[in-house]
Amino acid sequence: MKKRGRGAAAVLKRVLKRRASPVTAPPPPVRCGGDGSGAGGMENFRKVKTCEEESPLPFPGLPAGVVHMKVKEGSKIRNLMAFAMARMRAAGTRHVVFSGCGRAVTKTVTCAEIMKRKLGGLHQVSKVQYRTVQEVWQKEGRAEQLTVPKYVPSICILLSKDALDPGEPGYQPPEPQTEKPPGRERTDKRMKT
Amino acid sequence: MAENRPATHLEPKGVLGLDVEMDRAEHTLRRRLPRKLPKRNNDVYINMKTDFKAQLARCRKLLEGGGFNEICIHGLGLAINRAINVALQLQANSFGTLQIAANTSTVELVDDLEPEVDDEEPASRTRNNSAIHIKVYHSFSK
Repeated sequence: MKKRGRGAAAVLKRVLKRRASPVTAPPPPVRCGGDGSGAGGMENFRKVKTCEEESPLPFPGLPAGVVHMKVKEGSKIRNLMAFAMARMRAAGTRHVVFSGCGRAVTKTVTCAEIMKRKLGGLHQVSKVQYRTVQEVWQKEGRAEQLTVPKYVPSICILLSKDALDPGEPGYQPPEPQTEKPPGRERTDKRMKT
Repeated sequence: MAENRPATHLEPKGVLGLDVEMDRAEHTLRRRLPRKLPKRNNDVYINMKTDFKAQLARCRKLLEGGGFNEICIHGLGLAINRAINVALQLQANSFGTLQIAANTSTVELVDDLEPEVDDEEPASRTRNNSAIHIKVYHSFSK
């Protein structure tokens, strides 16, 4: 028991040390669902699972049934956009929220940008924050587990057909409407002019 | 994924989504740098080559010693993540005096296709990439 306890403590120390590398500053480089190998001293440990903590959306006053697109690292933009555009084209849907953390942040921004370009006239509020991801590490052949909280940058983008408060930090008014070719759906990347 | 390497016909055609036309034409794909962006003294452009700590220190210096009430942190593509990280770190270490406001945009990038054989003509194609602009400001200043 004693040994086990010490082992875990040592490991935790190592984990913390590893996390501390960019320490004071950035939380560790984001690795959602990575392999977990290559970390010094962590060879025998394996990341068994990571779970994102559910955090409420940082937009107060949104109706309950808002369309919330949770963008993940492996999500396909065409799948996300097909769903979100269909919902957004319905007159009853006033808002859509895109959120993603870690490596999915870029994809999240891209989705919001595509939607803004396609639909036009959308008000936007973007919020960035740290989200806690609980990582569970397990030593091979042992039952004990080690849960490490990791803070990864995340972004939440609210797109709304209705006007939003311009004083809100991160607010962006709709782009002025330009003549955009509406039928120019890209089927093939290479077909561009 | 054909960056900076010639797409010769040695490569199997049609594999990896490389388009056939490009394979035949023997072009080198070169990425032009993003178009020149305006740079005020309180703008910080985040890239993935500079050390993170150095970028963070630069921002901190601007806010604390540089006499700026607000700075603008920009990140393009992959650097979006790091830009957010810088901004959040600044905020977290400011004891609540700093606020952040993020905006997103799209940046048009141009790739040049340089011919490897003489009788082809150079071409270029444009693509879009996402960018983020984070304003970090002292909460009393606004």
